[in-house]
Amino acid sequence: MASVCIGNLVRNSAKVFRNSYITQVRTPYGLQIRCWNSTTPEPSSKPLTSVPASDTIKHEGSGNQLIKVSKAMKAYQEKAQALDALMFEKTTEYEIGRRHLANMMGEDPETFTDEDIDTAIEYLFPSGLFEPRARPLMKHPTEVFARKKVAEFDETGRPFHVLFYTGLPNYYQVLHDLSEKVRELDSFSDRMMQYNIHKDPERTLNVGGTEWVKKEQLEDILLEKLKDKQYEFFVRSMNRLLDHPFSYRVEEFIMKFRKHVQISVIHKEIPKLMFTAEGTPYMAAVGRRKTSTASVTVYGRGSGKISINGEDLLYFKYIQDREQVLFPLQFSGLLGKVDVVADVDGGGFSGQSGAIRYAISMAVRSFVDEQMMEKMRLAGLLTRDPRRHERKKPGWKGARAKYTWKKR
Amino acid sequence: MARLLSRNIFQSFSDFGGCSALVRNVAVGREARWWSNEASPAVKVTAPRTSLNQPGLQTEEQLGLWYTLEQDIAKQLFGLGGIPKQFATQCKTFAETCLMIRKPALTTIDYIKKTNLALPPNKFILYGREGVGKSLSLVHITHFLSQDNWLLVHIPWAPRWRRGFKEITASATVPGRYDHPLDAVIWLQHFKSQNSQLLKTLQLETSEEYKWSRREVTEAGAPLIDIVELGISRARFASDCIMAVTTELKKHATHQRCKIAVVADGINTFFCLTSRYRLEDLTYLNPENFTIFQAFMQLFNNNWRNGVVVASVDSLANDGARRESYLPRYLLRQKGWETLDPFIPILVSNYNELEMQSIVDYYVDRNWLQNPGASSDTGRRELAGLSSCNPYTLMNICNSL
Repeated sequence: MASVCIGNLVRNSAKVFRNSYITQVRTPYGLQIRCWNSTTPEPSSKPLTSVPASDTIKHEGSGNQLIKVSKAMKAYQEKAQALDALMFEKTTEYEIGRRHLANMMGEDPETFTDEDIDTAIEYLFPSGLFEPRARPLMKHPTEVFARKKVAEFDETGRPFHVLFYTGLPNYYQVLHDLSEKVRELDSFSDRMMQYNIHKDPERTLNVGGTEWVKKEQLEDILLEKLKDKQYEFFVRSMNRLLDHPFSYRVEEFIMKFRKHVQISVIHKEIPKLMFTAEGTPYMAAVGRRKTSTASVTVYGRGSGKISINGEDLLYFKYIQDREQVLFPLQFSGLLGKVDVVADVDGGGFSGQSGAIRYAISMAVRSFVDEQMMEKMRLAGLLTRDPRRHERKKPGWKGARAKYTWKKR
Repeated sequence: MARLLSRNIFQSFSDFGGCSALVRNVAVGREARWWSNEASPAVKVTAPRTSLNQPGLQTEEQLGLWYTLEQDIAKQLFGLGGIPKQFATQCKTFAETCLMIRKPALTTIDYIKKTNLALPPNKFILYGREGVGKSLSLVHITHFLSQDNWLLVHIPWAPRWRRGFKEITASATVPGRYDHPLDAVIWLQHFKSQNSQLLKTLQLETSEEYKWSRREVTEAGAPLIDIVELGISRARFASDCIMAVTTELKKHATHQRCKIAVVADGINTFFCLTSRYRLEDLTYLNPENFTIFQAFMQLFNNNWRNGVVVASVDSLANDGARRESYLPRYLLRQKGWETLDPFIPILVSNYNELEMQSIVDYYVDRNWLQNPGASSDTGRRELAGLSSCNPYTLMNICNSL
């Protein structure tokens, strides 16, 4: 818990604020109001608040001068006070609860960490609910209650921020900064042109693996509600900055609004080719689809023979299923160059052919190079098809279909 | 198929585009002429044909080549059946009846040439999976037999009489026997069309008197063709006529007046236990009781000479419940196995690499495969993969939708 001062009346604080976009802890001299939404730890012994609930307050630095407080300021103070009180109460409760929990679990309350709390809750209130957010939890109030902006004006009602009356000061501040950066880069590039230096391929901003923050995340950063149009404008403007040949000079600014994309592919170790006693390379793999399971061995240096449960490819009556089986080989250019021996059971023909297709793709990985593997992944060959038969619902005609509704 | 091959089309189009771009760029240069030669379209694929249209002259050198069955001969020999319907349609589209020379047919022809006719007839049974070309091999062999002056007793597709018959009536002459009046007429016409020339030169005569009704009698010593003609004009007696013809032919062959080739597609249907004809008590009739079945079955025995039996066993000639294997012992059952014993089994299998090349070339030559990727190496491998080199499946894949 931090103590935040709203009493700072001087303009120079606005400069600090301008470069931060999120609510800042301002250096206090004067009126002190506790605000819970900052990250600085709180001196625990202090009592709640020092704001007198009156229209006039004393300014410590300037003697016993009476300052008129606007109604808006007063209303804000009251609101902040109430919130702080609530937070203080909740935090105290949480602290007591934590100690109780530690005692119940027979641990030392002083060293009882958040992880210990989670384990204890899971042990004491076992829940079968699927959604993790619906399960019982005990977290610090700062994690449970939403963050709020601190006061944006002094006690006379004068806003700190020049863009306060836009309604979205933080958002427009970002745009201002952005245009300033663009101008800076332009003038820099002009200077470079004089020395006949163009874009340096060595020094480019690499934003691979990242993307612009989503609208909700930007709102979290700015603590302001944005409209879709405003978000789109932001992304467009940021892209312009990113496309600038010297954008690497403002990397810090850009990266503030980019977040890492989680790479969905889990890079598994691809098994190395094995060899038979005759020296033929081969690789085995298992594939599944619907209720079918296929175990497949792909032999290199073959002539394109395919054997499925001891029969040839005409095991599959429909051409679609045969295409499914051949697709990974055709795609990787191995058709007619490898032999395939497959053993498949369970399910129907489309499930079986899909299972064989997946198994062949997995086995073929060992025969092809990295690039082809990436192509195969993009073609969806290395992804297991998770779709299953959907059950019929009682009272309905099928899984989704209903009977014709007749009035009577 | 189309989906699979689209990749190839795309590739070859881009190749082509690349070439023409190359020409355009270099055309201004000195070596324009050289480049334009390079960029000329690929070598045109033509069907590998042979001019040896007599099957008797064909040897292993002609394996995988295509020979033409002339239109009038095809009509005379197979006008009333023999060539599978889908293949016949394709031949009509291609405006020619061409057959690929394949190993099983050549082997059989070779064996027939070496046959000792003084002994009971040799029997050759073609067997193999569905759609491998047993019927077309029989067509090839029949063409040879016809040219080699054999009197043909050709059964185009025996299961038709067991389950696809037009009409069945109880026989008027022998109680307990059943006739196929219309089907028998068709077969007699077929027989006449195939052998009319030979019957004229051989001058075969009937050995005994046949009394069809009070007024219609065929005297002993009448030409054999009279019985055929009578059967064609009087459907009621057609089945009995067939019985008479086969009996007579067997006698003539044994007395060395002619040599007889029995060709039967789907011979295992003769040994099935049920036909699709229902009796009054709702039981299915045993096909043994069909007059024409009895007529032809006597040719499968060993008690005659100067003949040859060429037949195919086909799982499709059996009923649906008995199609698991394509091997003769399974398809012929005990009875057929014993009747035909001893026989020479000849395996017909899927296309080999040479034949696969040949058929794709032929289809491209006939503009049946128009995709530019089809004749490429990748295209060929895709076609071979999708069809497993099975001729019938390949034909279906290459057919229009």
